[in-house]
Amino acid sequence: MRSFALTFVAILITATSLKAAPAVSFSKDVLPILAENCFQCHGPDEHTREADLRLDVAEDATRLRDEYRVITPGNPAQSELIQRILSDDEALMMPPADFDKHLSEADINTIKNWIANGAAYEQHWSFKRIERPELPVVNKRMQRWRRNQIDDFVGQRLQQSRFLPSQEATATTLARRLSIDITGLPPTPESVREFVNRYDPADPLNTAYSEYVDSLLASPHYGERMAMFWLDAARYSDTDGYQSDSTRNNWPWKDWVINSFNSNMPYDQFTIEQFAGDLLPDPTPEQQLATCFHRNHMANGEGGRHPEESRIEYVIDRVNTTGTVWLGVTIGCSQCHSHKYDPISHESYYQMFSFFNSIDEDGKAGGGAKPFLSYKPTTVEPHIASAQALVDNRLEVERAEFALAQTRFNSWLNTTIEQLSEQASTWRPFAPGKLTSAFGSVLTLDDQQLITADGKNPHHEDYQLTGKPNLSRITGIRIEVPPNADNTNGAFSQSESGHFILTDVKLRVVSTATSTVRDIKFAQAIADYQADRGKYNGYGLVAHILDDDPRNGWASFDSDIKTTRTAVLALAEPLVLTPEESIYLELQQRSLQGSHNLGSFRIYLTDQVGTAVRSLDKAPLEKLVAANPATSEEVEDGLRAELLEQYLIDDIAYQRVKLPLNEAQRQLSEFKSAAADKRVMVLSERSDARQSYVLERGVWDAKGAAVSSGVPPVLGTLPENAPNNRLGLAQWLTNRENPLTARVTANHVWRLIMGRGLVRTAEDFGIQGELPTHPDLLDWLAIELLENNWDLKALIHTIVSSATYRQSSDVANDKRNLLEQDPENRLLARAERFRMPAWMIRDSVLQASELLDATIGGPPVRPYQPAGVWADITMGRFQYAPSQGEAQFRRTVYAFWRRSAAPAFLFDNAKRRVCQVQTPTTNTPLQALTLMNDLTYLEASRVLAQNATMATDQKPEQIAYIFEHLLSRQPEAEELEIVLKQLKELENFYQSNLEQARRYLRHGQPETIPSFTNSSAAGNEQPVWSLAALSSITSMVMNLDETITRE
Amino acid sequence: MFDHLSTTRRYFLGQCTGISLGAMAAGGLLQGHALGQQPKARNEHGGLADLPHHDVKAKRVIYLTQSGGPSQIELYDHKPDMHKWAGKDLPEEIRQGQRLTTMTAGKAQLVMPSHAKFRQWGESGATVSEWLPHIGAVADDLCFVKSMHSEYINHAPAMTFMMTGSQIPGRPSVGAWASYGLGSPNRDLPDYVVLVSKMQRPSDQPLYNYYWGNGFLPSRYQGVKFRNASEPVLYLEDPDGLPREMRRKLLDGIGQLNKLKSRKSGDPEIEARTRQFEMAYRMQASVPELTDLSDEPEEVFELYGPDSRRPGSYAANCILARRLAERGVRFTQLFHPDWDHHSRLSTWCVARCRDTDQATAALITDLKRRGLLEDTLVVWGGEFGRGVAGQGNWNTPSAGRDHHPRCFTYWMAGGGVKAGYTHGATDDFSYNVAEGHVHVHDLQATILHLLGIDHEQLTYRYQGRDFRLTDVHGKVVHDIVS
Repeated sequence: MRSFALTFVAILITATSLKAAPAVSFSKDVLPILAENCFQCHGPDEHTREADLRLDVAEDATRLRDEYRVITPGNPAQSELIQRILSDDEALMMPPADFDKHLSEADINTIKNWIANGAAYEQHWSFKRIERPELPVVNKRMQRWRRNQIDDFVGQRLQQSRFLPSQEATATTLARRLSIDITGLPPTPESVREFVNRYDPADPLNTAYSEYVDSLLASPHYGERMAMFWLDAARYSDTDGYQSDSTRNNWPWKDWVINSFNSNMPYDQFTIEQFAGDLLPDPTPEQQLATCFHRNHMANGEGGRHPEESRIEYVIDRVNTTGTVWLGVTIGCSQCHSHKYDPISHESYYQMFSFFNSIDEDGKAGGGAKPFLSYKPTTVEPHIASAQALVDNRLEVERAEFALAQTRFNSWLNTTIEQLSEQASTWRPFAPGKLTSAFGSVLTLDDQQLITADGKNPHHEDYQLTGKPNLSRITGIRIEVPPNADNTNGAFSQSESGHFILTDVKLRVVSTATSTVRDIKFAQAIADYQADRGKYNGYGLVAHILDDDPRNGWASFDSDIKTTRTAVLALAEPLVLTPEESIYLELQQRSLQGSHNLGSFRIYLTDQVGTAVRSLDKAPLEKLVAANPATSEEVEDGLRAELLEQYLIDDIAYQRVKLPLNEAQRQLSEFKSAAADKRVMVLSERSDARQSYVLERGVWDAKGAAVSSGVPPVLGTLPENAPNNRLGLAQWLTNRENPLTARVTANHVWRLIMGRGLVRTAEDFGIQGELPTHPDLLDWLAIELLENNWDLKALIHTIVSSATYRQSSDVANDKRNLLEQDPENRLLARAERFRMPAWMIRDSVLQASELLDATIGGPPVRPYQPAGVWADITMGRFQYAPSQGEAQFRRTVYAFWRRSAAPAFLFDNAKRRVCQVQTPTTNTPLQALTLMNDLTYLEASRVLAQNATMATDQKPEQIAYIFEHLLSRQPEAEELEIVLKQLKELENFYQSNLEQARRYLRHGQPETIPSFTNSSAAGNEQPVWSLAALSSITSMVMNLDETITRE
Repeated sequence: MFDHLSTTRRYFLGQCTGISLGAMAAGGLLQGHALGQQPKARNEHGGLADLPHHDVKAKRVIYLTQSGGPSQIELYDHKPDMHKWAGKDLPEEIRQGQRLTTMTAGKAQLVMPSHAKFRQWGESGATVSEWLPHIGAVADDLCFVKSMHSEYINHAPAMTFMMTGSQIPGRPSVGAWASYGLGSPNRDLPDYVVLVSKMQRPSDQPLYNYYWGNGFLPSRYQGVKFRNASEPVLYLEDPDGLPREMRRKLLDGIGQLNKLKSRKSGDPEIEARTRQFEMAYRMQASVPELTDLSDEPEEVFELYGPDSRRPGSYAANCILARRLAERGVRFTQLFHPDWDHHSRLSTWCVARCRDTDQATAALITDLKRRGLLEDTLVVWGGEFGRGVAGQGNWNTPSAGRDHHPRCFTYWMAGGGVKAGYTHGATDDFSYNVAEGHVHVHDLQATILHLLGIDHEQLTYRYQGRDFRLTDVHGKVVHDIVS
């Protein structure tokens, strides 16, 4: 440890001591002021330009106009600009009085000085060619501190600002920080221990550190970590977005991204393949697959949409994404008009547009979103194997329980047969206590339980029946509509034809205890007859009485009017009522035709499940009564099977193992189909190129002048010999002469590793963006990339090897008062401390609990999220079934991304609708709720607690185990004391609330739940309450600020 | 909710501006060029200190969003002479090349008169459909704008435009702007709450969460959607087996351990984290207290209609909206889907009227009798209207209407708008605005104006540009301001 770092000297600094060198730089000092305050009317956009004045162009600003010049180089007093700025005459002053901009005195002096010094214009810093900067020579103190060239640049600025760097972080912190930054996962306790033992900060060869970094960069988890950034930038999603939000099969591209990062594909090649893999000579399938990057935009399949309008939007999206990810220029501003600040014209925008305008696509979504590549995924096999193993495992459990259930069934059947004579019929007539209607019909109930409506027959009508069923539970409803002499033709209704329409049926629970009601869901409806809906305005199918849509429904048209019509509705779940509760049944007839109200009808209820409510035939129990067997051996096989099925639905112990088996089987077939050839959206050119036009105001069909492909002149020209197509565009992006790509990319990498970019506006390197905190350092990193064959791993190695990176992030008792002096850490006098992204937090707890399935690549999976999240947002069109077994514990990068309902547990993540390279990190109570209550954290905390108890039976050591896995360190004495005290309280609680403890332990996959939680047998209370307490304590540690923070 | 970290640096640097955007220069030191969003001082409601810009007419908004495009021709825009044109071609001088969706492009545009009958209501004599008798009965409290017009003809772009001022997703919604600008007097509930009607029928138009999104504003300004589930806010409920008193113990432990860490690290964010967990704990109580309607008297349910007894229904959400207004929540937005009546309009549209009519009127009545209407702005409307031509065979029951952005009706009530007033008019076919044009940006400017916000001054710097809700457009409709 360097001694100076331990003995900080308070350095008092003044406000001016941190200012840049006194000489005024146009691009650094003047241009931002002009851009902010003047360019809206006197900048690059010809449409909003006033007074025919451009302040961004030297020739125009300094030319002689009548008798004055706006800027007279060397003479501020003779410059109209200064006079106008200083004027307090509202008619003359600039910026104008009604324009919400205001120049400070310092700004005015800067402009004055600049003019006085000759008003030299220069190009905006990021548009200049990247040159290798000279390494600054730092003072002795910094010499002792520095580890590589990065520190020369950082040290120089620190030295100028008279600040000292922070001391080096502890070896433990560095081990954790490096692992999180490079792989997105915390280190294992073993690797921390090994690193701490080996690491010697004074080692001139840096061996241990360097090897640790190399091992992390060699880990395949590195590719996953980088891919998460790339998928956000690429607006990757597994669905189209917009109304239909159809599922895509583009995930093989995601595997390509992970592999490319892992194999350290040079970034120029990475770029070229994604822009133009299809245009390379004899492209491999993987090179074609790479071009999916530019197909990850949203796709609109809304009915009534003009496909060409959509297609234009996709092309625009590609241009804007290119602008943000590679160029760091808000090129999208030029879509509607020339850029207000940066010299990118409306026309150059559409020249860029032209590169992407001849893709062989036609603006369609879903299955019509050509061009596709037929690609056979190579990463599915391990997942099939794992899913198969899960099925086998759960099948074994299910078979065992099935055998027990069969025994239970046999004894039930025997009892039932003995009591057969006492069996009532399956369907019991319902006699509602209250009969009302919405539009005046009067309903009466006779002693045959027949409900009859009076003769009014209104256009629309709702029949409302309220009453208490004489059953302990309800599982189905049967509606019978008999012919009746009072109806037209003696049929079912007083409509013209005598036929009826039932548009919808509602079942609710009402209660004397509360004013609110409960909707009860049906699973299905069947009927003995359904009219041809094509003939009758959409009315026919009985299933439509469940959809709350009056435009369809069940109807009897063309049926035999002498036969009673019957429908059976199965409830989604058995309904059990409390003594305060009654059921409310509403039969609606709100059809287009109107007047087709039921004349009379009967309602029956049942408490039986299975075939009884899924068929119109006799229920199994009725068949049993009819067969009247003396013993259970006499029951014939078919009926026995039906009775068994019905029995099993109600057998909770069996259902507890059967449902997970069903889920596992569904998952297995999903993975199997994932292994088949996939149609991946990729790029390929049309045989006849489309002509591109400037689109006026950015409107898709407002074609202006014709343009051909080209790059913005301010950023150079296509390299020699480069073709004028996407391939040439990609070559230009990664060419040595391109001033932006290497800077922007180096900044992305710096930001991912250091927490904040050298350019804080990572998406805007233009005039309105921020200047780099360390301009020469950025250029040095960019040159390293350029001259090092775009080697990202090497760049990361260099960054993390610096002394700058290794600083501590602590600011407590800091004599430099950094927090106040440099709140945004622009000097880099400390390491950044920040909350990890939500995906990283999830991955971390999976790793800490050793639940993580570390397999690389493969089809999307569905991590836990609360029930109904998809259904809620998509109005019920999509249901979410969480993945089972190991598939549940895959890294977040593999989580299925539905554009209309992004994973609920990912707060602050990019939305992936359009390209986003960074999102603000916020801190809200909703995030706290997620970490407290998300099932992932709950299950992981229990599993980690279990692991701790298996490692040791000493409480303090268990706590230490949990700390080591979650925080990569041992608890301190004071911490241990607090945790043990909390643990004791939780133990006391669960000891006297064993049922609560069991319930707390039963969250998650059946395979992770300890078997002793299922049994309430005597003798296993201790493991139950102690594990419940330790699990809750683990979740507490999981929710500590430090656990979710990179420091 | 949403702690105001007024004593810590990241309140200014992280919370308020998003970490990347601020170019905070404490004491003028260490200035990058101050081109990101400048942190701004905040008042005790978490609003910007320089707001309101002028007199406040409405302290809060309840926006009753009718998604899908309700037909102004059936509901509000009465054209008594239209029957003379029934089945005839819409004159070209009226149509003026209006774009159609691809559903009806190229098909004959035959006039289909209103399926609904109209009558005049109250002293103001406003014409309202007989399909909306309850709303008709409160027409004297409403301010109708019959001359709304939009630019987009498909649902998602038009709704995105209506909510955010841009058709492309990604800008902050009107509620997020209000929350960003004004904060909210209730710090234990979100500033901006979204309530979506629970429908049994899957709707054809999903309600994207970017309709109430924060766009580039920090995420604390996004609308928080209360779900119609047992858990109104995601992850609100503690897990089975962990009772609230044990949650309290765990939070105490988190607080103590965080404090130790904070002493060591010095990062004020750690204490802020503890406060967010405490806020979460309070929300676990305040949200269920809000959404549990069991303390409402029977007469309230009678006022709002039978559907209000069904949690998640539009009618129940109207009661919730009133409860939110009582608790000072700044912006409450209801969404009622399924107004997209391309076919079978006479039964389909009636169904949506039945869902909403009584409860909407009850909300006006209820706010009024509680003295809340005078400073609550209620807004009713969708993303566009519907066209005069029949879609499908115009004279059969299966006919409906296609989308129509060139004119449609909105109404407002309460905080700062004229009661019993009608602004603007359409031509004889309810096809073009004839007078008093109100563009979507004008409506947005007016809503902000009534909240005391100058829509041109409430801006946010993002990617080098000062964005605002109304883009570079929008004029306050002073004619409707009382």
